Amino acid sequence: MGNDLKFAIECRTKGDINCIELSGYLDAHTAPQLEDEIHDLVKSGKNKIIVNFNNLDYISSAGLGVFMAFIEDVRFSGGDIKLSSMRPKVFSVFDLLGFPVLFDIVQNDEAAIEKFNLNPINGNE
Amino acid sequence: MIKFKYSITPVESDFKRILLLIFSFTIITFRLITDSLIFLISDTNSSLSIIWKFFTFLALGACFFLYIFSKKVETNDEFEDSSTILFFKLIGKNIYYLLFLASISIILKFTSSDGNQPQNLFAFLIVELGSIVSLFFILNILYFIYSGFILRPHKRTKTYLKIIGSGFVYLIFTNLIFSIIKVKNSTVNDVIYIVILVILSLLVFINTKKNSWIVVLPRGKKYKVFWLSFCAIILSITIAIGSLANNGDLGKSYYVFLPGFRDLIAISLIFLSFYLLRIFFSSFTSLPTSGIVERKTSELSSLTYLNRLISEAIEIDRLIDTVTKLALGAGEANVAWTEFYDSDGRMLVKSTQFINSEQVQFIHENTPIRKYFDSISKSSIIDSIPQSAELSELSHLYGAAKSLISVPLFESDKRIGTLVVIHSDEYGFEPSDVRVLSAFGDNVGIALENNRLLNSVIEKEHYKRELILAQKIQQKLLPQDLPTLANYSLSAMTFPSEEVGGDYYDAVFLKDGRLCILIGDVSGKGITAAFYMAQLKGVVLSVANEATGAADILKRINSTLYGSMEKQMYITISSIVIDSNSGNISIARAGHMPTLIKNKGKVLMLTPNGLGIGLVSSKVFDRVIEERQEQLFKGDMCLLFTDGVNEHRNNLSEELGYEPLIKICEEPSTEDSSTLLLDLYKKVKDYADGALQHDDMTIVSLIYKGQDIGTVFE
Repeated sequence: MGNDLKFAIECRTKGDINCIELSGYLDAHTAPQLEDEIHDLVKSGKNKIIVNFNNLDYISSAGLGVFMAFIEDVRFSGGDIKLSSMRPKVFSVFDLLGFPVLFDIVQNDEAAIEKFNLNPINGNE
Repeated sequence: MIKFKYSITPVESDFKRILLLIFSFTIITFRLITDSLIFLISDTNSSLSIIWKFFTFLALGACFFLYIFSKKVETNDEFEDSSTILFFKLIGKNIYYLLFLASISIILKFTSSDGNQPQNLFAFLIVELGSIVSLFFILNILYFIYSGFILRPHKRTKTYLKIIGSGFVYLIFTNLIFSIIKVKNSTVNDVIYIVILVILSLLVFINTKKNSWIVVLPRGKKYKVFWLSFCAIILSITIAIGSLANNGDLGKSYYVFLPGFRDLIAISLIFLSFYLLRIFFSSFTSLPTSGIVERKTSELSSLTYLNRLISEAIEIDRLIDTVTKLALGAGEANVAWTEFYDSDGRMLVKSTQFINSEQVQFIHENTPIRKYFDSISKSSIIDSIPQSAELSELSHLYGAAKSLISVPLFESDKRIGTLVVIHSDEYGFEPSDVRVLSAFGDNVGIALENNRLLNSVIEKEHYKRELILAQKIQQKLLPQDLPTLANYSLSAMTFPSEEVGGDYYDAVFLKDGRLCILIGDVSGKGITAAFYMAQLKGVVLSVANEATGAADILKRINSTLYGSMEKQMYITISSIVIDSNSGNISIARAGHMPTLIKNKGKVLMLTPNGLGIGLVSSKVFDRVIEERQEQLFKGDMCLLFTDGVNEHRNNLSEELGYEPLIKICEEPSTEDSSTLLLDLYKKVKDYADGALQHDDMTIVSLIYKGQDIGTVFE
């Protein structure tokens, strides 16, 4: 408990690709933070987004919802949200909901960048 | 002698006071009659008659004393000092008493004759009556001094009062006794008398040292104190000298009433003089500073008033009006206003004093006043507007504006407005005014901040209540009973968490009459989740009797809800359709938790493909969703649950996981589904070991029993 319950977002930019690194607990209480973050990116026209889950300990249904909120608009504008480096437990939550069908879930950021570069306009459905 | 109590004598009942008056009148009548007799047949100055006089005097004095000292002067007031109230309530009366005493003195002066005996009975009675009235007045005067001391006690008040009291009694009694035993006044006695009197008077003077209440009085009241005490001192000294004068007529008259009585009168009046002398000096010396004191006092009381207003008022407009008014008063200024700026920087005049909004608007349009206000970050003073670099235009436009103080107003570091105070004199403000006005400004900021916080608390409280309501609604949406089913034991339970979750379960009949059990979880929490859950319930009820199977009902639900839900919201559902005639069940899943199935003793976690409801259109959803058929045998079971169960944490923040759920299916302790649920719930709670439940937990258990009748548990 304590510190690990906190949620943190770190943003990095690699060219036109934005990488959001999540850590801690993403639940109904912390989801709005992520929502704001992605919202700001999308609003400023940055639509190539990688979300790195490597340090994320937990994701709740509300956390999953955040990605659903933006994916449509991001893809419509020619970008994508790619989800990378998920731990098995977090992946299983995505998996149960059927996210692999909806999102591009990749092993690591490099793979995501490669995919972005290969296919600049990506719709993965 | 009645002992002085170290407090104002408590209020006696009116009845007692009336009784005292009746007593007094009886004694007076009695005394007058007997005295008249003595006057007619004997010498009123014989030792015996003096002793008689003394005892009647003592009785009357005691009655008067109790009567006067038992009244209570109401000195409780929120704003005024009690000493101030006492002084002003009693000083006027005392002046009247003194005037009466003076007039009595004049009368008595003419009633006395050459000797110690009045000329006739009438004169004698006048002397007697006059003395009695004097006694009453003098006791009132003593009460005034006594209350003054008691209200402002210091370390030695009690001791001094005792010394003064005993000395007082001593002086009167020595004279009395001397006259009874017919001792001639000697110089030695006179000297002792005077020395003691001087000491006692000095003690009275010293005892009056706590006079701070005078210093803080406004100028007008100080003048009043000054003149009233001056008059009272002159009067009392005149009377005191008159009665003490050797061979004076007044003294002789008092002597007729009782030897030593003139000393009582004179000494009391001397005490009063010394008491008032101190007050007189205090008021005199504090007169020059009264302007500053007045200002400080008004600043202080303004601030106090403002603080109180802040703690009470939610009406911000009223507060700003008050602040503007107080600012005008505190700075002794001529014009004041408070302007606010909205998020676009537009100016809005909120409150004005001796100027109107249009005029303020006009000033803004024709002078760079706004530029100046924006440039200041703390309260600033312009001592001379005509000579100022920033605002000289203002004095052209508005001649009376000669000096100005502007106080920026902030609400949690955000500049929201300016409080402006203008004086018609150059250098019209005191430097301290800036400080005081900036305190006003701070108060406005605090009030606005308070107001905002208060509103957010109210909002939170409101939200809390809404949640409770949502929880109730949610509970009502869940089925009150489950249908009984041949060959199956079916139970379901929801254990809500404190925050309203979106857990849902239901049992509905499909088109072909088969029972369909649904368990679901709306994403997120709180009121939105509860709202979607209610919507889901409606959708389920409307599509159920058209649906043909476990996957079909989910498809129908998705096709109804997709598009009408917010993008980030979704619902996960599992459905099981039961053929009550056999152990045949079909299972479908829309993004929900795995379904646990014990099939021929072996526990499986089934996750047929399927996306959450509301995520994708029917086109994708219907393509992905799978339906699985399973055959149950006697003793086999199904366990459906929401993520609140397997994600329940213990104190180490570790999740329960699936293992315990699988285990309870492998080794069921019972064939009764409701007991199984309770066992499972207990297991979860044991694991949690007191850790808080953060999400709703819903469990549905279905046990196939062959021919037995199922139970219902809610």
